[in-house]
This record gives sequence, C-alpha cells and structure tokens, in this order.
Amino acid sequence: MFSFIYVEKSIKKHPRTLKILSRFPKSTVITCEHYGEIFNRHQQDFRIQKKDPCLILAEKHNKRIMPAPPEYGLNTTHNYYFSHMLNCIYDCRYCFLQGMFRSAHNVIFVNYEDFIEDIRALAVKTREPIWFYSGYDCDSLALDPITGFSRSFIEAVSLIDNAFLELRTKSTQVRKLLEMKPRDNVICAFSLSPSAVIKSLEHQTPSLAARLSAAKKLQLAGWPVALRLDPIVFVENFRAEYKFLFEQITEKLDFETLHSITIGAFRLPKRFFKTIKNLYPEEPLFSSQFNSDNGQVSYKKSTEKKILDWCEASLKSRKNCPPVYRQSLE
Amino acid sequence: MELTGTTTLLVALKAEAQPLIDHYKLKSARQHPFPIYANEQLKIVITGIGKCPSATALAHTAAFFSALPNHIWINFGIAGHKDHTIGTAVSVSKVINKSSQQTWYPNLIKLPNTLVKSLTTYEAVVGDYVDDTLCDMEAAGFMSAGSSLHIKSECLFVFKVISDNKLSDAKNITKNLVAGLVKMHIPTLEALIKKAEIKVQDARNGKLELGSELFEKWHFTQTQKSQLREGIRRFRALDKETLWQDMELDNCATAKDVIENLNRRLQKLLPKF
Ligand code: SF4
Repeated sequence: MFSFIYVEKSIKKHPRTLKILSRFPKSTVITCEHYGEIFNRHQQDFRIQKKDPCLILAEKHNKRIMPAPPEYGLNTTHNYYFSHMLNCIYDCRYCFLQGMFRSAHNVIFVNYEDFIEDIRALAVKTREPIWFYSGYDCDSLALDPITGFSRSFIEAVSLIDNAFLELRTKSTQVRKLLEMKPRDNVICAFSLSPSAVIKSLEHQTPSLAARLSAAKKLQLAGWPVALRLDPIVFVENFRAEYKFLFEQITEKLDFETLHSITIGAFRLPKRFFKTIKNLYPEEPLFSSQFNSDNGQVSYKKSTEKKILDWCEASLKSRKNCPPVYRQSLE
Repeated sequence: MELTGTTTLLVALKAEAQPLIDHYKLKSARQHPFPIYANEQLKIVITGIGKCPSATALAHTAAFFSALPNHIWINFGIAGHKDHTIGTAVSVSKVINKSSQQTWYPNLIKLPNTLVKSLTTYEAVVGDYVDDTLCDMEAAGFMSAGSSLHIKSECLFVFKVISDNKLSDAKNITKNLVAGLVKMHIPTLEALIKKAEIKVQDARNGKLELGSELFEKWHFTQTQKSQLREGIRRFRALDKETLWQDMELDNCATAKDVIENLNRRLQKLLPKF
C-alpha cells in the first residue's frame, strides 16, 4: 500500500509506530526529523503525490483539539474537531484537503494519549455536552485496522460523562467497533452520496451499498449511526439521483433510529477552490455555476436553498424521520 | 538544435554520461557553458565535479531551455559508501549538505534491486567513509538549485551507483569501471524515468491556448482573454461532446458579446455523472 514510510526520529520506538510498521513489511522506512520536512513543503504537487502517496508517522505537539467551524455542529454549543491523521486514502474530487495541503502523503500522529488528555482537559471545563468530531482532515476509519484509532479513542471518550465523539467516515472498516460494546456517546457518521456521484467524484471509496451495509451492521450491534449528506452536488437529474439515495437509505437502514442526518450543499473556501480547480481543470464539478462571496465558493444562495429545502422536505416526508440538520454557511 | 524533452539527467563526468549517450544515441546539442547531449525526450548535461557546478548547470538548463511543466530532473552518477558493494544501485531518500547540514528529500520511486539510502555531499573526495550514508560531491548543489528554482519536489530525483567503499576507495575508480557501472544500471534508470513520467504526465496542465482566429475577428482585453479562457475551460469540462466554437458567434459584434454568449450557454449546463 505504501512504498515508502517516513518516521520521525523521536517516535521511531513508539509502540504504535512499531505496530503500524509491522503491517507494512515491504515498505522502505526512512527516518526524518520532523514530518514537515516531507509534508506540505513549498513546490509540492498534490495531484502527482496522490498517485503514490507515502505514509508519514509523526507526533503532534500542539493544536491537537481545535474549535469546530460554526456550521459544523448539531445545534450544540461546545464543538471541537481533531485529526489523528492528515489526508486520506480516498480521492474525492471535491475534498477540501486538496486545497488545504500541497501534499497528498498520509500523516498519522501516533501520540493518541496526548489527544485524549487534551479531550479530557476540555471536557472537565463544562458540564454541558461537549462534542469532538473526528474525520475533519482525514477519514476517521479508513485506516482503522492499521491505526487502531477507534479502540483507543472510544474507550477513553466513553469514560467522559459529557463527551460525545463523532467518527465521520466513508469507509466500511467497522470491524473494530463491532468487537466492542456499543457506546451511546460515540456516533459513527457515514458520508453518503448517490451512486452516480460516488462513481464520478468519490474515487477509491466503498460503494453506496457497502457503506449502507457497514452502517446497518453497526445499527444491529446497537451503535448510534448518523448520516452526513454533505456535500450535496447539484447534478443533472439531481432530484432523481437523491430521491433514489433516500429510498436506499430507508430501505437498507433502520431509518427511525438514526441518530441524525445532516445536509449541506457543495461549498469550499475560495482559495481552496482555486487550488483544486487548477489541479483538475477538466473536472465538470468545478465548472458548475457558482457564486463566490465571503471567501467561499458555493451555489447561488437561491440554488443552495432550493437544494436543501428539497432534500429536507424529501427526507422528512418519510415515516419517522430522524432529526435533520443543515450545514450551511449562514 | 531545438531542445525539447521531458527529462534531464545531470551527471558530473563525461565518463558517467558516455554509456548513456551511446545507449540513447544522443546528439551533442551544445558544448558551452555545459556540454549537453540530447534527443527528443532526454537531455544529459555534464555538470563537472562539485556542488556549485551541479547547481549552476541545473539553473542554466532550466532557465535557457523551455521545459514542459513537471519536467523530470535526475542527478545521476557514482557515489561512495563504506560497506555497500560496488555496483549497488541506490535511490537517494535524503541529501545532506555536509558543510551546512541543510537537508532535502528528493522524490522516490520503487525500483527493482535498488537500495534506498541517505547521501551526504562533501566538498572533496572522502577517504574515511565514517557515516552510514552515501557520499558524493554534487547532489546537495542539485537539490539546492532545484528548490531555489521552485522545481516541484516530485520532479527531483537523485539516483546513484556505488563506485567505491572501504575495501576499494575512490583512487581505484577508472573510466572503464564507471562505464561498466553505468551500463549495468541503464535498465533501472530507464524504469525510473518511465515511472516518473507516468506519474507526472496527466498533471501537466498547460495554459489553455486560444486560437488566433478569435483575435483577428474581435479585440479582447487581457481581462476578457482570461474570462474567455475560463469560460472555455468550463465549457469543455461540462460538455465533452460539443466544440465550444460551434456556438453561433457570427452575430457577436464585440468580444464582450462572445463572452456573454459563452456564459449564456454555460448557465444551461450542469455536471452530468
Ligand atoms: S473521504 Fe473525506 S477526507 Fe477522504 S478524500 Fe473523501 S472527502 Fe476527503
């Protein structure tokens, strides 16, 4: 999977480093001082690196847990995000990481214990529910069998009374969760799109059927499952595509027990959009009719409203619809 | 001779270059300030020994010969290592400038029968082989110039063949030995060039050229040219079947009309998946 693995000298002997390296016996390991020597340097090209990215094992020293952007939560007050990884093994054409980083290498921060300590420190500051979102700069579970991320974080967070953990993913790597007892404060949130969108834009990701099947397994095991329909892409046959998606959701999942559904139309910070468009000028998505204001590129307000209104109404028209939240810039 | 090509090899010595010149049937393109041999795909620049010549040769070649975006640059040649057997091929993962301790990480591609190691660039020939790194006198100059010239790190490679070690030091290097070592690794070098090319080629998004006939008919300001370019990019992405020129432009009196016409068409197009 990774021909070359860079490892920071200081964590060469870290048990998690050794465990991860043992999964890649054929990879060549290269020692570096700091992951920044290889990751996100000037003069790097995301598109070229994405063809054969390296793995980098590193330690995150600061800014481990960050306040979530305002539109990110579920109408909750205390929202934070964190990333035990940077970048992703999937290749969604709309992914903002392509605009944020010049590098497509995958970084895993092995010092989970420091992240968990920071989560605890934030949680004790309030008695109100406090949400921690994973999967912002990566896919939470795509490499779970290798990183052991879910077990470490779930076990720790489930001991904190007021803490909630959301694991956002497009993957089907739920085996580790199925081996554990379900926790009410850990939500596995699957990002879904119509099959046509997955095929055209979400390269190398599991199919819709596979994601739904993984979500169903978790539901049957008693885990709270949420759905994230974000970004919603305005394509030809938009209504037919999304209607069919909603039908598959209601058919394949236990719809009424879903924890929540969030909907958000395609949007990107302007500078990320520009970078990504230059990386993939031939991509139809980046040629849609967009508006650009407040530093964001998105559909025209009226179009965005129509998209979200229609999706929300269509979901809510189904029996026992779980709570639906909008993720929009307003 | 027009110098085109997608890959340039920078080698220190004529002895290192000669087997490649013969193999690829390269023609002498110029002799000053650096001898260059080339065919349509490949250039070899003989830089001379040392960091400075290596850096200057890269800068000179990059500046004077139009290179496609994502042109591949490879520093190729012989190097020493305390233990490794003479003839071992090495992809260099990290280049250390001995005098400044500055480091660079060239790009890597998995190659058959090739070690991956760090390399230290020294000011002079090394006799004691203390470090567990390769030693040479050029790679740091090459990497330093590449990074100053904003060449993408994915396009910079350092590939060496071990020519000396503790048992047989640099004094024993002969032209024949060098030629033999280089010849032995032409297939590996070829694999490197091929794989590197495959990786970068579809990321070579050249600037969209606009047909000159447009400019004969209408006068476009610079801003209008960039609006037109962006409109055509979007049109091509959204409608792969129609040529944008097939739009009815005859009724357009001005460049502004052309752009408005294009934008009206674009408004009706949605991504089809
Ligand atoms: S799964 Fe998420 S993080 Fe991964 S490429 Fe797609 S959008 Fe980006």
